[in-house]
This record gives sequence, C-alpha cells and structure tokens, in this order.
Amino acid sequence: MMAIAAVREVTMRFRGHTALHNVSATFEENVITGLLGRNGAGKTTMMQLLAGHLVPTSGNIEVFGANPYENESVLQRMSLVKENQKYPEYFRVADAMSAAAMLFPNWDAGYAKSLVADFDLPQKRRIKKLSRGMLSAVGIVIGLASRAPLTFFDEPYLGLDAVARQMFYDRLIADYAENPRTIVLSTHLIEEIAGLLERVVIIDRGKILADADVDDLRTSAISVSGPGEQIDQFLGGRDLLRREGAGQLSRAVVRVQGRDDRADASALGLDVEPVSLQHLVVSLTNRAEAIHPAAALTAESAYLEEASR
Amino acid sequence: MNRIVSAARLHLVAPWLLLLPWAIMGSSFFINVLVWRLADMAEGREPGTAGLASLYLTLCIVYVQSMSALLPFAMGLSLTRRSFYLGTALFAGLQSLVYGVLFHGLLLVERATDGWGVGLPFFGGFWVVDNPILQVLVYVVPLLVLAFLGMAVGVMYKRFGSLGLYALIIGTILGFGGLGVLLAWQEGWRETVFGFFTGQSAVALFTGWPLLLGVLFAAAAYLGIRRVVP
Amino acid sequence: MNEDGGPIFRQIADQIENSIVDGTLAEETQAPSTTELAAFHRINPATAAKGINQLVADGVLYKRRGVGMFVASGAREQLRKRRRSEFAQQYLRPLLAEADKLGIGTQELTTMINDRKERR
Repeated sequence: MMAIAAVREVTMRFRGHTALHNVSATFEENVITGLLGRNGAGKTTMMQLLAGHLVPTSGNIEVFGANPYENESVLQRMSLVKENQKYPEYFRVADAMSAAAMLFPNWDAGYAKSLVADFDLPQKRRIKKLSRGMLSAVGIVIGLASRAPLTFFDEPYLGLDAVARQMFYDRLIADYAENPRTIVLSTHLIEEIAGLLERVVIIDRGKILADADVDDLRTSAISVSGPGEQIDQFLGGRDLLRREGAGQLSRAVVRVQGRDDRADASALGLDVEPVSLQHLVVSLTNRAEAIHPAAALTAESAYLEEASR
Repeated sequence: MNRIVSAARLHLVAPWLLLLPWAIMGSSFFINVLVWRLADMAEGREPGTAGLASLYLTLCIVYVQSMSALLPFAMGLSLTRRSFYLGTALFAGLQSLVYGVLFHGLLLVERATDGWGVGLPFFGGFWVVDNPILQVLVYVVPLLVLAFLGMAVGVMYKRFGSLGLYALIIGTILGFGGLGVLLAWQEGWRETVFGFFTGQSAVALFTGWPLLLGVLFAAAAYLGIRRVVP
Repeated sequence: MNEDGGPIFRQIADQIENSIVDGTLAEETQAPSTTELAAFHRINPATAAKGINQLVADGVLYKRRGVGMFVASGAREQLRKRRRSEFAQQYLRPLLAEADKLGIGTQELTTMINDRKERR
C-alpha cells in the first residue's frame, strides 16, 4: 500500500505554544484512516499542514509526492472540511455548493443534490442562520461530493444528532465502497466510528502514540481481570498500559504478543477479554499523560462527554 | 489560468455584495438631489460633491471583507492563495472597468438633464476631462487602487488581527498628521506642495499618481497573502 | 458488530460460516458482497473484504469471475467437520470444568443431558 500523504519529523510552533513535536506519520492510499486524539492534541494542526494551510516550523510535508503549500496540482486533488469552516456573509447553502462545483474538478453535482436532500438542508437559507448540526452537514456534503482523491474530515459530526451521524457513516461507507478514495477522519467519538476505520493515527499533546492497522492495534493488547496478585504475576516483564481497581477486583490492560500470552493469563485464573479500540486509545493516552488512576476515569468520560457537545 | 478565472467567478456567487455599493451610492444620490432641490444649491458652488466617494469607499470595504471571509472559504475548497489573489485582482479590474463605463454613461445623462434637473454635479465635478477615454480612466483607476487598498488592509487584518488594524490606522493618522504639521510649520514647503498638487491636471491626479499607489498596495497584498492562515 | 468481540473481519467470517452450517446459505449460492456486508454491518468495506478473503483462503467460498463470491461445494461438510473437532475444546472443556466446580459427576451429567434433549 502506498503512502499518499506523510508528515516527516514535523514540528509546529506557534507563538508561545508547540502544537506538534517532531511528528512523523503516513496516510495510505484508498484507506480510511482515523486521526484520533483529545481536544487540542494536534489533529487539526496536522490536517492544516497537510492541506498547505500552515507551513511547518521544521520538517516536511508530502502529499501526492510534493509539498502541498500553494501547490495547485496537489490541492486540486484534496479537500479539507474544517470543524470551524467559515463561510462568507450572505452565502446560502446553494451558493456554497455552486462555489464548490467551480473549484473541485471531480465535483459530483447529482450526488451533492441527493446528499443535501438526505440531510434536509434548506438550500435557500443563509449559512449564518444554520444550526450547528446543519453547518456540519454542509461540510459533510462538500467533502463527500468533492470526490477528491484525498478527503479530510475534521470532526465532521459536531452538532449532528445520532440519526444524522449514522447517515453520514452510511453514506461514507457506500461511497467509499463504490468510489474508493483516501479518507482521513479526525474524531474523538472513537467507539462510533471504530468499525469504519482501517488504520488509525493516535495523537496526544503533539506527539504520535500509534500509527497502525486497527485490527493489529486491537489484538496487540488484552484486558485481564482478577486478583491483584495474579495480575502482578502476569505482568512480569510485560508492558502495562493501564491498571484499575484494587485487591480481588483488579483489572489491567496489557500489551501481548500472541495466543501464548492469553493462555498464560487464563492459566493464572484471570479473566481475559479483548480490548475495544476506544479503551485502548484511552489507555495509551492516559499512560502518555501519566494521569493518576483516579483521574483516568475523567479522561475516559472526557472522550464520552465531547460526543454530546 | 482556469483556476484564476474560477477564483474570479467566486465573487459572482453571492450577488448581494455587488449591489451593495450601488445601493449606498443610490441613497447618497437621492439625498443629494433632494437637498439640491430644496436648498437651491446650484448657485456659485464648487463643482462636484462627495457623493460618488460613497461607492468608492464601500467598494474598498467589500474588498477588505473578501480577504477575511471569502479567502478562508476558498482555501477550504482547495484554492491556493495565489490563485485567489489573481482571481480577485482580475475581478477588480473588470469590475472597475464596467463601473467606469457606467459612470461615464451616467455623466452624459447628467449633462443632458442639466444636473438631474436641479443642477447637481454628482458624476461630474472637478474630475471631468475632455477625452471620454481618459474620463473613463479617471473613474476606473481610483476604483482599482481602492480595491487593492482593501485587499492589502484585508490581508493585514487576517494576519495581524484587530490589533494590527488599529496599529495601521494609528500609524496612518500619525503619518499624515505629521505631514500636516510639517506643512503648517514650513511655509515654504506648503507652497511647494500645494503648488505641485494644484498644478497637476485632473488626469494626472486621478490616474497617474494613484496608479503608483495602486502598484504599492497590490504588491503589499500579494506579499502578505502568502502566509495567511485561513 | 461487537467492538469487544475480537477482530471484526473474524466476526464477519464467523457469521457467514454460521449461516452455511445451519443451512440458510446454501452451497453454490452467492454470498453477500463486500459492499452489502459493509453497509449492513456499518463497517469499512476493506474489513468486510478481509473476512471474505479469509473464507476464500479457507476454501469455504470461491470467486466466480465477473459475478461474485459463492459458497463452495462441500463447504458445509467441511465446516461441520472443523467445528466438530473444535467442539470438545470450545464447549466440553468449559462444561466439564464448571461441572467439576459444582461436583456434578459424569452419571449426573449424562442424565441432565438426556433430560434437556427430551424437553426440546
């Protein structure tokens, strides 16, 4: 699989704040990749760098084999729908679609029309007057109908209710199945979209925690529960990601290599369970942030809370 | 070239902004007509009112806004800053030309109706010249220059925010104010400067010198836009 | 799709295998396409494809050029055989372990099994 976009040893410094620290990651062609991380982790910054909206302080960005900054041929093949995309005053929904049609070489007007109907968007209404959910829907329609070979969605679901979100996922899968393209989706609603993703790049406080295949990542760890002593025994020289509970009711998320590790855990009388992607991401993030276990619960709920924002 | 034309067409998507300057000028026009009618102002007046200036200023502001609102949107649709700049410049050029020709037409109507029936010199003032082509230029060049000024100020605002804008305003006031103080202080200079300006023909005043300023603004806008973050 | 149930592509493969074993998906009939599976389970089409490919590799499905994926002849029997051999490990082992824990002897176990079967 080819890497169609890459950041290589990129540092992004703003006045008084470093958003990305010597970060490297790749995005594979025609794969749906999730860019996962908390608010302020650096997801939007990375997308802006890839779209040539920002210039890195150091390191380089490569998209379609070239530097995207002010590069016509590269930019025409990609689309970035930002979470806080601004629209000109007096622009109506229909105007935004017309503008998109002018600028995206692969724009599919028929598809855009059906999506606008699906999301119930009032064509003649001024964008400034739309609810947060509808504003997100406009961005989704533009991103999907652009048919850009490299499409970025930056937290595209904000304000969308569960029904509309599900519709987005369904449309995304259907279109991707018929017309494969490279899609990068940034989100903190991990559980909901875990099934959609083939790869993930996990970012926390400007550093990459993981850049891997989702299935590989999920099977790289297990959750063991039981008496604390047995867990300690099992841990041995293994990589601990997260520890919860105490005494008889202890639980740990541990990195494993294969079936033998699972057998070892069972042999010690521990309950072995697979780890969900969300749980894994939270564990990795917590460990990176070295949060105290009690506060770790806050981190988990932060992921869940932001979903209802 | 295609991209630049597309960028220019962006300015046509929401026609509301095209009507605004005319609406403002229209209201200025009607007020002027009324005032002229009621107060019988035709006697012994300096030729020209500031009515036309309202459209010019509005246009300048529209271009400031194009940088703060249309540019980020266009970049969100994968347009490069360079294409947006050139497309906007192209649009400004065409718009100025069309407006210039329209104003000239309205000037002719004004002459034919003897100042709209009340002796109002709205489109014709001390900027009137004999040659129709030069006349159109007299309308067009300041418009184009103000468009580029708007773009430069807009880029400035996008990059440095409100604070930058205030700094620019204060700087400009101090700059011109300082010049004014200098002229008030040095009588000799004053005569030279005023002599220079009054000595200039309307054509030079409205097309020659502004053109230099225009190039300055255009360059400033282009250099500034390269690093705008949408 | 169960987020905690192990690799999703495996769950897809298992579901198709189940429908072959219980007869709802007959041999030489067409299996659901990748696109259908992706849309139905709301998962990435690549993941669905992975599940299908696993079944092809196992010889359970085969590809008919230009048409799609079909259930191989003998797949049902093949799967039943495999599951029979896994039955002891997957079901008997935990059953006997639990029975031991509760002190249920083989005799009692046999009686329980017979009772259960009658009731069905």
